[in-house]
Amino acid sequence: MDLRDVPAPDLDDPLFQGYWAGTAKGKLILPRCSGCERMNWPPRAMCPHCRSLKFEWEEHRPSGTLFSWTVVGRATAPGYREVPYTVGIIALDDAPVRLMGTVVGVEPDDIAMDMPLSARFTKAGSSLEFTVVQWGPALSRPVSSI
Amino acid sequence: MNSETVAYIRGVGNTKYVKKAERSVEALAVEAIDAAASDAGIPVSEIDGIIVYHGHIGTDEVIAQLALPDVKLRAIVDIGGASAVAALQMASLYVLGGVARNVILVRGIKGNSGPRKAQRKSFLPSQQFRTQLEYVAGCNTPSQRYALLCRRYMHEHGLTREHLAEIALAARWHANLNPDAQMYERTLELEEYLSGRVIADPYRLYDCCLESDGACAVIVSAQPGGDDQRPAVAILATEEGHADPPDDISNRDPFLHVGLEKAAARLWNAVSLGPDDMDAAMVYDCFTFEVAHQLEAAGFATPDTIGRLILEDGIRLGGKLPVNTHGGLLSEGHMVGLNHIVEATRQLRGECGPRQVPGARHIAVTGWGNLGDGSITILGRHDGPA
Repeated sequence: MDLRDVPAPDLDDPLFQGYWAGTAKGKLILPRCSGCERMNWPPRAMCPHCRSLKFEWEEHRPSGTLFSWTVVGRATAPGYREVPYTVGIIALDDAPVRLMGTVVGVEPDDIAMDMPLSARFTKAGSSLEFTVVQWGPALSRPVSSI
Repeated sequence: MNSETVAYIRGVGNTKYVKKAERSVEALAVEAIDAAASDAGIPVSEIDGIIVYHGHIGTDEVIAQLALPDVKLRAIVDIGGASAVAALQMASLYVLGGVARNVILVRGIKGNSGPRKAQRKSFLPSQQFRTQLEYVAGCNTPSQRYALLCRRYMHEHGLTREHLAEIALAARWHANLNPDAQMYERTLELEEYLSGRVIADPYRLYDCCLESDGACAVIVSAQPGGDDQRPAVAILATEEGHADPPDDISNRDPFLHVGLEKAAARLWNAVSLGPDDMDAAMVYDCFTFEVAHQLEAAGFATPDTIGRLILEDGIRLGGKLPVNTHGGLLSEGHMVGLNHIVEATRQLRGECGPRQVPGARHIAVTGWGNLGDGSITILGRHDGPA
Protein backbone atom coordinates (compact mmCIF):
# COMPACT_ATOMS: atom_id res chain seq x y z
CA MET A 1 0.00 0.00 0.00
CA ASP A 2 1.19 3.49 -0.68
CA LEU A 3 -0.52 5.35 2.08
CA ARG A 4 0.93 8.58 0.69
CA ASP A 5 -2.05 8.63 -1.66
CA VAL A 6 -4.60 8.47 1.16
CA PRO A 7 -6.49 11.77 1.12
CA ALA A 8 -5.76 13.76 4.26
CA PRO A 9 -8.79 14.52 6.41
CA ASP A 10 -9.14 17.93 8.05
CA LEU A 11 -6.70 17.41 10.94
CA ASP A 12 -7.83 20.66 12.54
CA ASP A 13 -11.52 19.80 12.65
CA PRO A 14 -12.27 20.44 16.34
CA LEU A 15 -14.27 17.21 16.54
CA PHE A 16 -11.31 15.15 15.32
CA GLN A 17 -8.28 17.24 16.29
CA GLY A 18 -7.62 15.36 19.52
CA TYR A 19 -7.87 12.00 17.74
CA TRP A 20 -5.28 12.91 15.11
CA ALA A 21 -2.99 14.56 17.65
CA GLY A 22 -3.17 11.28 19.56
CA THR A 23 -2.40 8.96 16.65
CA ALA A 24 0.60 11.13 15.76
CA LYS A 25 1.99 10.21 19.19
CA GLY A 26 1.04 6.54 18.90
CA LYS A 27 -1.92 6.93 21.23
CA LEU A 28 -5.60 6.24 20.84
CA ILE A 29 -7.39 9.32 22.14
CA LEU A 30 -11.17 9.60 21.87
CA PRO A 31 -13.80 12.10 22.98
CA ARG A 32 -16.00 11.45 26.01
CA CYS A 33 -19.05 13.59 26.77
CA SER A 34 -18.50 15.88 29.75
CA GLY A 35 -22.20 15.85 30.56
CA CYS A 36 -23.18 12.17 30.76
CA GLU A 37 -19.69 10.66 30.41
CA ARG A 38 -20.69 8.47 27.50
CA MET A 39 -18.30 8.08 24.61
CA ASN A 40 -18.92 10.54 21.78
CA TRP A 41 -17.99 8.44 18.72
CA PRO A 42 -18.14 9.18 15.92
CA PRO A 43 -17.71 12.64 17.35
CA ARG A 44 -20.65 15.01 17.20
CA ALA A 45 -20.99 18.63 18.24
CA MET A 46 -23.83 17.74 20.60
CA CYS A 47 -24.10 14.59 22.68
CA PRO A 48 -27.11 12.67 21.34
CA HIS A 49 -27.75 11.26 24.81
CA CYS A 50 -27.67 14.34 27.07
CA ARG A 51 -27.40 17.24 24.61
CA SER A 52 -24.21 18.50 26.22
CA LEU A 53 -21.94 20.52 23.94
CA LYS A 54 -18.78 19.70 25.91
CA PHE A 55 -16.48 16.73 25.64
CA GLU A 56 -13.02 15.76 26.83
CA TRP A 57 -10.24 13.86 25.10
CA GLU A 58 -9.30 10.67 26.84
CA GLU A 59 -6.67 8.03 26.13
CA HIS A 60 -7.82 4.46 25.50
CA ARG A 61 -6.09 1.12 25.38
CA PRO A 62 -5.32 0.50 21.68
CA SER A 63 -6.72 -3.00 21.63
CA GLY A 64 -9.98 -4.62 20.67
CA THR A 65 -11.71 -7.47 18.88
CA LEU A 66 -12.80 -7.82 15.27
CA PHE A 67 -16.53 -7.11 15.05
CA SER A 68 -16.90 -7.37 11.26
CA TRP A 69 -14.72 -7.16 8.17
CA THR A 70 -14.59 -7.18 4.41
CA VAL A 71 -11.80 -8.37 2.16
CA VAL A 72 -11.63 -5.81 -0.62
CA GLY A 73 -10.83 -7.34 -3.99
CA ARG A 74 -11.52 -4.44 -6.31
CA ALA A 75 -9.40 -1.37 -5.69
CA THR A 76 -11.40 1.85 -5.48
CA ALA A 77 -9.88 3.91 -2.65
CA PRO A 78 -6.92 6.28 -3.15
CA GLY A 79 -3.89 4.88 -1.31
CA TYR A 80 -5.29 1.36 -1.38
CA ARG A 81 -4.42 0.15 -4.85
CA GLU A 82 -2.99 -3.21 -3.79
CA VAL A 83 -5.68 -5.82 -3.34
CA PRO A 84 -6.75 -7.80 -1.50
CA TYR A 85 -6.73 -5.84 1.72
CA THR A 86 -9.05 -6.01 4.68
CA VAL A 87 -11.26 -3.32 6.20
CA GLY A 88 -12.52 -4.11 9.67
CA ILE A 89 -14.72 -2.73 12.38
CA ILE A 90 -12.93 -3.12 15.69
CA ALA A 91 -14.75 -3.11 19.02
CA LEU A 92 -12.45 -1.54 21.60
CA ASP A 93 -11.68 -3.50 24.76
CA ASP A 94 -12.08 -0.64 27.20
CA ALA A 95 -14.94 1.45 25.80
CA PRO A 96 -18.22 0.83 23.93
CA VAL A 97 -16.77 2.23 20.71
CA ARG A 98 -16.19 0.63 17.33
CA LEU A 99 -13.48 1.95 15.01
CA MET A 100 -13.07 1.34 11.30
CA GLY A 101 -9.57 0.46 10.19
CA THR A 102 -7.56 -1.85 7.98
CA VAL A 103 -6.59 -5.23 9.38
CA VAL A 104 -2.92 -5.96 8.62
CA GLY A 105 -0.57 -8.86 9.17
CA VAL A 106 -3.24 -11.54 8.79
CA GLU A 107 -3.98 -13.50 5.65
CA PRO A 108 -7.63 -13.11 4.57
CA ASP A 109 -8.31 -16.81 5.19
CA ASP A 110 -7.00 -16.54 8.75
CA ILE A 111 -9.25 -13.67 9.76
CA ALA A 112 -11.87 -14.69 12.28
CA MET A 113 -14.81 -13.06 14.01
CA ASP A 114 -13.93 -11.62 17.44
CA MET A 115 -10.19 -12.18 17.00
CA PRO A 116 -8.13 -9.97 19.32
CA LEU A 117 -6.33 -7.11 17.58
CA SER A 118 -4.08 -4.28 18.61
CA ALA A 119 -3.30 -0.98 16.98
CA ARG A 120 -0.43 -0.13 14.66
CA PHE A 121 0.15 3.58 14.13
CA THR A 122 1.21 4.14 10.54
CA LYS A 123 2.14 7.38 8.78
CA ALA A 124 0.03 8.38 5.78
CA GLY A 125 -0.59 11.32 3.47
CA SER A 126 1.45 12.96 0.72
CA SER A 127 4.04 14.25 3.20
CA LEU A 128 3.29 11.62 5.83
CA GLU A 129 1.55 14.38 7.75
CA PHE A 130 -0.92 12.20 9.61
CA THR A 131 -1.04 8.81 11.26
CA VAL A 132 -3.70 6.18 10.61
CA VAL A 133 -4.56 3.38 12.97
CA GLN A 134 -4.22 -0.11 11.52
CA TRP A 135 -5.07 -3.28 13.40
CA GLY A 136 -3.05 -6.46 13.57
CA PRO A 137 -2.75 -9.60 15.67
CA ALA A 138 -2.70 -8.68 19.33
CA LEU A 139 0.67 -7.64 20.74
CA SER A 140 1.67 -7.21 24.33
CA ARG A 141 2.20 -3.53 23.65
CA PRO A 142 1.48 -1.23 20.70
CA VAL A 143 4.20 -0.45 18.22
CA SER A 144 4.75 2.59 16.06
CA SER A 145 6.02 2.32 12.53
CA ILE A 146 6.77 4.69 9.73
CA MET B 1 -49.29 8.90 4.82
CA ASN B 2 -52.45 6.88 4.72
CA SER B 3 -55.96 8.12 4.23
CA GLU B 4 -59.20 7.27 2.52
CA THR B 5 -58.09 9.48 -0.32
CA VAL B 6 -55.14 8.02 -2.15
CA ALA B 7 -53.08 8.98 -5.14
CA TYR B 8 -52.49 6.71 -8.11
CA ILE B 9 -49.70 5.68 -10.37
CA ARG B 10 -51.20 6.96 -13.57
CA GLY B 11 -48.46 6.00 -15.98
CA VAL B 12 -45.05 4.35 -16.20
CA GLY B 13 -42.39 4.19 -18.89
CA ASN B 14 -38.84 3.09 -19.48
CA THR B 15 -36.12 2.56 -22.04
CA LYS B 16 -34.38 -0.75 -22.43
CA TYR B 17 -31.52 -1.00 -19.95
CA VAL B 18 -28.13 -1.49 -21.58
CA LYS B 19 -24.40 -1.33 -20.88
CA LYS B 20 -23.83 1.37 -23.44
CA ALA B 21 -26.53 3.58 -24.87
CA GLU B 22 -25.69 5.30 -28.13
CA ARG B 23 -27.86 8.25 -27.11
CA SER B 24 -27.58 11.12 -24.65
CA VAL B 25 -29.02 10.93 -21.15
CA GLU B 26 -31.54 13.55 -22.25
CA ALA B 27 -32.69 11.40 -25.16
CA LEU B 28 -33.08 8.41 -22.86
CA ALA B 29 -35.12 10.45 -20.39
CA VAL B 30 -37.33 11.87 -23.15
CA GLU B 31 -38.15 8.35 -24.33
CA ALA B 32 -39.06 7.21 -20.80
CA ILE B 33 -41.13 10.31 -20.02
CA ASP B 34 -42.96 10.17 -23.37
CA ALA B 35 -43.73 6.52 -22.71
CA ALA B 36 -45.03 7.28 -19.21
CA ALA B 37 -47.26 10.12 -20.45
CA SER B 38 -48.59 7.99 -23.26
CA ASP B 39 -49.23 5.18 -20.77
CA ALA B 40 -51.08 7.68 -18.54
CA GLY B 41 -53.11 8.90 -21.51
CA ILE B 42 -52.07 12.53 -21.08
CA PRO B 43 -50.04 14.91 -23.22
CA VAL B 44 -46.53 15.45 -21.82
CA SER B 45 -47.42 19.13 -21.39
CA GLU B 46 -49.73 18.19 -18.52
CA ILE B 47 -46.81 17.13 -16.35
CA ASP B 48 -46.56 19.93 -13.81
CA GLY B 49 -44.38 18.49 -11.04
CA ILE B 50 -40.98 16.75 -11.14
CA ILE B 51 -39.02 14.75 -8.57
CA VAL B 52 -35.54 13.55 -9.53
CA TYR B 53 -32.38 12.19 -7.94
CA HIS B 54 -28.76 13.31 -7.65
CA GLY B 55 -26.49 12.36 -10.51
CA HIS B 56 -29.39 11.58 -12.84
CA ILE B 57 -31.08 13.94 -15.26
CA GLY B 58 -32.11 17.09 -13.37
CA THR B 59 -35.39 18.92 -13.09
CA ASP B 60 -34.50 21.89 -15.29
CA GLU B 61 -33.18 19.53 -17.95
CA VAL B 62 -36.50 17.69 -17.89
CA ILE B 63 -38.44 20.96 -18.16
CA ALA B 64 -36.25 22.14 -21.02
CA GLN B 65 -36.06 18.85 -22.94
CA LEU B 66 -39.81 18.26 -22.78
CA ALA B 67 -40.69 21.97 -23.13
CA LEU B 68 -43.01 21.63 -20.15
CA PRO B 69 -45.05 24.85 -20.09
CA ASP B 70 -46.05 25.22 -16.45
CA VAL B 71 -44.17 23.15 -13.87
CA LYS B 72 -45.35 24.19 -10.41
CA LEU B 73 -42.83 22.43 -8.23
CA ARG B 74 -39.66 20.42 -8.41
CA ALA B 75 -37.74 18.48 -5.81
CA ILE B 76 -34.89 16.10 -5.17
CA VAL B 77 -35.49 13.37 -2.63
CA ASP B 78 -31.99 12.52 -1.48
CA ILE B 79 -31.92 9.42 0.66
CA GLY B 80 -30.05 7.29 -1.84
CA GLY B 81 -31.84 4.18 -3.00
CA ALA B 82 -34.69 4.88 -0.59
CA SER B 83 -35.53 8.03 -2.56
CA ALA B 84 -37.79 6.61 -5.27
CA VAL B 85 -40.27 5.03 -2.87
CA ALA B 86 -40.04 7.98 -0.48
CA ALA B 87 -40.83 10.27 -3.43
CA LEU B 88 -44.17 8.49 -3.86
CA GLN B 89 -45.13 9.94 -0.49
CA MET B 90 -44.14 13.44 -1.54
CA ALA B 91 -45.81 13.15 -4.93
CA SER B 92 -49.00 11.83 -3.32
CA LEU B 93 -49.12 14.80 -0.98
CA TYR B 94 -48.57 17.21 -3.87
CA VAL B 95 -51.36 15.84 -6.03
CA LEU B 96 -53.82 15.28 -3.19
CA GLY B 97 -53.06 18.77 -1.86
CA GLY B 98 -53.83 20.27 -5.24
CA VAL B 99 -50.37 21.73 -5.73
CA ALA B 100 -49.82 19.82 -8.95
CA ARG B 101 -51.88 17.43 -11.06
CA ASN B 102 -49.32 15.11 -12.60
CA VAL B 103 -46.02 14.68 -10.78
CA ILE B 104 -43.36 12.73 -12.63
CA LEU B 105 -40.56 10.80 -10.94
CA VAL B 106 -37.62 10.39 -13.33
CA ARG B 107 -34.32 8.53 -13.39
CA GLY B 108 -32.01 8.83 -16.38
CA ILE B 109 -28.29 8.12 -16.42
CA LYS B 110 -25.42 6.61 -18.36
CA GLY B 111 -24.30 4.83 -15.23
CA ASN B 112 -22.30 2.17 -17.01
CA SER B 113 -20.75 3.85 -20.04
CA GLY B 114 -20.35 7.16 -18.18
CA PRO B 115 -18.55 7.74 -14.86
CA ARG B 116 -18.94 4.69 -12.59
CA LYS B 117 -20.16 4.76 -9.03
CA ALA B 118 -16.76 5.07 -7.35
CA GLN B 119 -15.90 7.93 -9.73
CA ARG B 120 -19.11 9.88 -9.23
CA LYS B 121 -19.57 12.51 -6.53
CA SER B 122 -20.70 11.09 -3.21
CA PHE B 123 -23.99 12.44 -1.92
CA LEU B 124 -23.75 10.59 1.38
CA PRO B 125 -24.56 12.56 4.54
CA SER B 126 -21.92 13.75 7.03
CA GLN B 127 -19.04 13.85 4.57
CA GLN B 128 -16.64 14.46 7.49
CA PHE B 129 -17.25 10.88 8.63
CA ARG B 130 -16.45 9.63 5.17
CA THR B 131 -13.14 11.51 5.02
CA GLN B 132 -12.17 11.22 8.70
CA LEU B 133 -13.17 7.62 9.35
CA GLU B 134 -13.70 5.69 6.11
CA TYR B 135 -11.44 6.95 3.31
CA VAL B 136 -8.39 6.80 5.61
CA ALA B 137 -9.22 3.11 6.16
CA GLY B 138 -9.58 2.31 2.45
CA CYS B 139 -13.36 2.18 2.53
CA ASN B 140 -15.16 4.30 -0.04
CA THR B 141 -17.89 2.31 -1.77
CA PRO B 142 -21.34 0.99 -0.82
CA SER B 143 -20.19 -2.59 -1.49
CA GLN B 144 -17.44 -2.25 1.12
CA ARG B 145 -19.64 -0.60 3.75
CA TYR B 146 -22.55 -2.98 3.33
CA ALA B 147 -20.26 -6.02 3.21
CA LEU B 148 -19.49 -5.15 6.84
CA LEU B 149 -23.21 -5.42 7.66
CA CYS B 150 -23.53 -8.62 5.63
CA ARG B 151 -20.63 -10.35 7.37
CA ARG B 152 -21.99 -9.59 10.81
CA TYR B 153 -25.51 -10.68 9.87
CA MET B 154 -24.18 -13.97 8.50
CA HIS B 155 -22.33 -14.49 11.78
CA GLU B 156 -25.27 -13.63 14.03
CA HIS B 157 -28.10 -15.26 12.11
CA GLY B 158 -26.57 -18.10 10.14
CA LEU B 159 -27.22 -16.65 6.71
CA THR B 160 -24.93 -18.40 4.19
CA ARG B 161 -23.60 -17.98 0.68
CA GLU B 162 -26.35 -20.36 -0.43
CA HIS B 163 -28.92 -17.77 0.57
CA LEU B 164 -27.05 -14.94 -1.13
CA ALA B 165 -26.71 -17.12 -4.24
CA GLU B 166 -30.45 -17.75 -4.48
CA ILE B 167 -31.14 -14.01 -4.31
CA ALA B 168 -28.78 -13.41 -7.24
CA LEU B 169 -29.98 -16.43 -9.24
CA ALA B 170 -33.66 -15.60 -8.72
CA ALA B 171 -33.05 -12.06 -9.93
CA ARG B 172 -31.30 -13.35 -13.03
CA TRP B 173 -33.97 -15.93 -13.72
CA HIS B 174 -36.59 -13.18 -13.61
CA ALA B 175 -34.51 -10.90 -15.83
CA ASN B 176 -34.30 -13.69 -18.39
CA LEU B 177 -38.10 -13.28 -18.70
CA ASN B 178 -37.86 -9.50 -19.15
CA PRO B 179 -36.86 -8.22 -22.62
CA ASP B 180 -36.06 -4.74 -21.25
CA ALA B 181 -33.52 -6.14 -18.77
CA GLN B 182 -29.81 -5.58 -19.26
CA MET B 183 -29.29 -9.30 -18.52
CA TYR B 184 -32.26 -10.59 -20.55
CA GLU B 185 -30.14 -12.89 -22.66
CA ARG B 186 -27.49 -13.70 -20.05
CA THR B 187 -28.26 -16.68 -17.85
CA LEU B 188 -26.48 -17.22 -14.55
CA GLU B 189 -25.81 -20.60 -12.97
CA LEU B 190 -24.65 -21.37 -9.45
CA GLU B 191 -21.15 -22.32 -10.54
CA GLU B 192 -20.61 -19.00 -12.30
CA TYR B 193 -22.08 -17.14 -9.34
CA LEU B 194 -19.67 -18.87 -6.95
CA SER B 195 -16.67 -18.16 -9.15
CA GLY B 196 -17.39 -14.43 -9.38
CA ARG B 197 -14.38 -12.32 -8.51
CA VAL B 198 -14.20 -10.76 -5.08
CA ILE B 199 -15.47 -7.18 -4.96
CA ALA B 200 -15.74 -6.76 -1.19
CA ASP B 201 -16.06 -10.19 0.38
CA PRO B 202 -18.64 -11.58 1.22
CA TYR B 203 -19.73 -9.67 -1.89
CA ARG B 204 -18.50 -11.16 -5.11
CA LEU B 205 -19.31 -9.97 -8.60
CA TYR B 206 -22.81 -11.41 -8.84
CA ASP B 207 -23.79 -10.16 -5.39
CA CYS B 208 -23.47 -6.61 -6.72
CA CYS B 209 -26.00 -4.59 -8.67
CA LEU B 210 -25.43 -3.61 -12.26
CA GLU B 211 -24.58 -0.16 -13.44
CA SER B 212 -26.78 0.79 -16.36
CA ASP B 213 -27.50 3.21 -19.14
CA GLY B 214 -31.18 3.97 -19.39
CA ALA B 215 -34.14 5.89 -18.00
CA CYS B 216 -37.52 5.30 -16.44
CA ALA B 217 -40.41 7.45 -15.26
CA VAL B 218 -43.51 7.19 -13.07
CA ILE B 219 -46.42 9.63 -13.12
CA VAL B 220 -48.37 10.15 -9.88
CA SER B 221 -51.80 11.75 -10.03
CA ALA B 222 -55.05 12.04 -8.12
CA GLN B 223 -56.61 10.65 -11.32
CA PRO B 224 -56.42 6.85 -11.47
CA GLY B 225 -55.86 6.58 -15.20
CA GLY B 226 -57.42 3.11 -15.41
CA ASP B 227 -60.37 2.17 -17.55
CA ASP B 228 -62.51 -0.85 -18.39
CA GLN B 229 -59.49 -2.45 -20.00
CA ARG B 230 -56.94 -1.69 -17.36
CA PRO B 231 -57.09 -1.58 -13.56
CA ALA B 232 -55.76 1.49 -11.76
CA VAL B 233 -52.85 1.23 -9.35
CA ALA B 234 -53.34 3.01 -6.02
CA ILE B 235 -50.58 4.14 -3.68
CA LEU B 236 -52.19 2.76 -0.53
CA ALA B 237 -49.58 3.86 1.99
CA THR B 238 -45.96 4.98 2.00
CA GLU B 239 -43.47 5.49 4.82
CA GLU B 240 -39.80 6.35 5.16
CA GLY B 241 -37.54 5.80 8.17
CA HIS B 242 -34.04 6.70 9.28
CA ALA B 243 -31.57 4.61 11.22
CA ASP B 244 -30.16 5.75 14.57
CA PRO B 245 -27.89 7.39 13.58
CA PRO B 246 -28.52 7.70 9.84
CA ASP B 247 -25.00 8.86 8.94
CA ASP B 248 -22.72 6.16 10.39
CA ILE B 249 -22.94 2.37 10.31
CA SER B 250 -20.03 1.50 12.61
CA ASN B 251 -21.54 2.37 16.00
CA ARG B 252 -25.24 1.58 15.69
CA ASP B 253 -26.65 -0.37 18.56
CA PRO B 254 -27.90 -2.87 17.59
CA PHE B 255 -25.40 -2.88 14.75
CA LEU B 256 -27.91 -4.21 12.19
CA HIS B 257 -30.65 -1.70 12.96
CA VAL B 258 -31.93 0.13 9.85
CA GLY B 259 -34.49 2.80 9.06
CA LEU B 260 -36.81 0.40 7.27
CA GLU B 261 -37.76 -1.12 10.64
CA LYS B 262 -39.37 2.16 11.67
CA ALA B 263 -40.98 2.76 8.29
CA ALA B 264 -42.43 -0.75 8.09
CA ALA B 265 -43.79 -0.62 11.65
CA ARG B 266 -45.66 2.58 10.82
CA LEU B 267 -46.79 1.23 7.46
CA TRP B 268 -48.33 -2.02 8.68
CA ASN B 269 -49.92 -0.13 11.55
CA ALA B 270 -51.59 2.24 9.10
CA VAL B 271 -53.18 -0.31 6.77
CA SER B 272 -55.48 -3.26 7.21
CA LEU B 273 -52.99 -5.48 5.39
CA GLY B 274 -49.95 -7.41 6.54
CA PRO B 275 -46.87 -8.91 4.93
CA ASP B 276 -48.77 -12.16 4.25
CA ASP B 277 -51.25 -10.23 2.09
CA MET B 278 -48.56 -9.18 -0.36
CA ASP B 279 -48.57 -11.07 -3.65
CA ALA B 280 -45.00 -10.01 -4.42
CA ALA B 281 -42.30 -7.70 -3.15
CA MET B 282 -39.95 -5.43 -5.04
CA VAL B 283 -36.98 -5.04 -2.71
CA TYR B 284 -34.13 -2.62 -3.22
CA ASP B 285 -31.29 -4.92 -4.20
CA CYS B 286 -28.07 -2.96 -4.38
CA PHE B 287 -26.43 -6.18 -3.12
CA THR B 288 -27.80 -9.64 -2.44
CA PHE B 289 -27.70 -9.41 1.34
CA GLU B 290 -29.69 -6.17 1.41
CA VAL B 291 -32.66 -8.13 0.06
CA ALA B 292 -32.55 -10.53 3.00
CA HIS B 293 -31.94 -7.69 5.45
CA GLN B 294 -34.92 -5.71 4.16
CA LEU B 295 -37.27 -8.69 3.92
CA GLU B 296 -36.59 -9.11 7.62
CA ALA B 297 -36.75 -5.40 8.51
CA ALA B 298 -40.03 -5.05 6.58
CA GLY B 299 -41.66 -7.91 8.46
CA PHE B 300 -41.68 -10.64 5.80
CA ALA B 301 -39.45 -12.84 7.93
CA THR B 302 -37.52 -12.96 11.18
CA PRO B 303 -33.81 -13.65 11.52
CA ASP B 304 -34.85 -17.24 12.23
CA THR B 305 -37.07 -17.64 9.16
CA ILE B 306 -35.34 -15.53 6.53
CA GLY B 307 -33.23 -18.46 5.33
CA ARG B 308 -36.31 -20.63 4.92
CA LEU B 309 -38.19 -17.92 3.05
CA ILE B 310 -35.36 -17.61 0.55
CA LEU B 311 -34.48 -21.27 0.00
CA GLU B 312 -37.63 -23.23 0.82
CA ASP B 313 -40.74 -21.05 0.62
CA GLY B 314 -39.27 -19.37 -2.41
CA ILE B 315 -38.65 -15.89 -3.78
CA ARG B 316 -38.97 -16.80 -7.46
CA LEU B 317 -42.15 -16.66 -9.51
CA GLY B 318 -44.34 -19.44 -8.17
CA GLY B 319 -42.78 -19.22 -4.72
CA LYS B 320 -44.42 -17.92 -1.56
CA LEU B 321 -43.18 -14.38 -2.13
CA PRO B 322 -41.93 -13.55 -5.63
CA VAL B 323 -39.22 -10.91 -5.20
CA ASN B 324 -38.04 -8.56 -7.94
CA THR B 325 -39.82 -10.17 -10.85
CA HIS B 326 -38.16 -7.70 -13.25
CA GLY B 327 -34.66 -8.76 -12.20
CA GLY B 328 -34.05 -5.80 -9.94
CA LEU B 329 -30.88 -3.77 -9.74
CA LEU B 330 -28.97 -7.06 -9.81
CA SER B 331 -30.17 -8.11 -13.26
CA GLU B 332 -32.70 -5.69 -14.82
CA GLY B 333 -30.85 -2.41 -14.42
CA HIS B 334 -29.85 0.25 -11.93
CA MET B 335 -32.42 3.00 -11.96
CA VAL B 336 -32.04 3.57 -8.20
CA GLY B 337 -35.21 1.65 -7.45
CA LEU B 338 -37.64 3.60 -9.61
CA ASN B 339 -37.67 0.54 -11.88
CA HIS B 340 -39.04 -1.45 -8.92
CA ILE B 341 -42.09 0.84 -8.85
CA VAL B 342 -42.51 0.49 -12.62
CA GLU B 343 -42.49 -3.31 -12.28
CA ALA B 344 -44.94 -3.36 -9.37
CA THR B 345 -47.33 -1.18 -11.37
CA ARG B 346 -47.22 -3.46 -14.40
CA GLN B 347 -47.64 -6.57 -12.25
CA LEU B 348 -50.76 -5.11 -10.65
CA ARG B 349 -52.18 -4.34 -14.08
CA GLY B 350 -51.42 -7.87 -15.26
CA GLU B 351 -49.10 -6.70 -18.04
CA CYS B 352 -46.04 -8.81 -17.31
CA GLY B 353 -46.54 -11.72 -19.70
CA PRO B 354 -44.27 -14.69 -18.92
CA ARG B 355 -43.20 -13.19 -15.60
CA GLN B 356 -46.70 -12.24 -14.41
CA VAL B 357 -47.61 -13.01 -10.80
CA PRO B 358 -51.11 -14.44 -11.33
CA GLY B 359 -53.85 -12.24 -9.90
CA ALA B 360 -51.50 -9.86 -8.09
CA ARG B 361 -53.53 -7.38 -6.00
CA HIS B 362 -51.03 -5.96 -3.50
CA ILE B 363 -47.30 -5.47 -3.88
CA ALA B 364 -44.86 -3.96 -1.38
CA VAL B 365 -41.92 -1.97 -2.75
CA THR B 366 -38.96 -1.04 -0.57
CA GLY B 367 -36.08 1.38 -0.85
CA TRP B 368 -32.72 1.32 0.92
CA GLY B 369 -30.01 3.91 0.76
CA ASN B 370 -27.55 6.31 2.32
CA LEU B 371 -26.19 3.85 4.91
CA GLY B 372 -29.56 2.51 6.00
CA ASP B 373 -32.38 4.92 5.33
CA GLY B 374 -35.44 2.94 4.37
CA SER B 375 -38.76 3.40 2.60
CA ILE B 376 -41.70 1.18 1.83
CA THR B 377 -44.96 1.51 -0.07
CA ILE B 378 -47.92 -0.72 -0.75
CA LEU B 379 -49.38 -0.49 -4.22
CA GLY B 380 -52.81 -1.96 -4.79
CA ARG B 381 -54.85 -2.92 -7.83
CA HIS B 382 -58.02 -0.90 -8.08
CA ASP B 383 -60.57 -2.45 -10.43
CA GLY B 384 -63.46 -0.56 -11.97
CA PRO B 385 -64.26 3.12 -11.78
CA ALA B 386 -62.37 4.94 -9.05
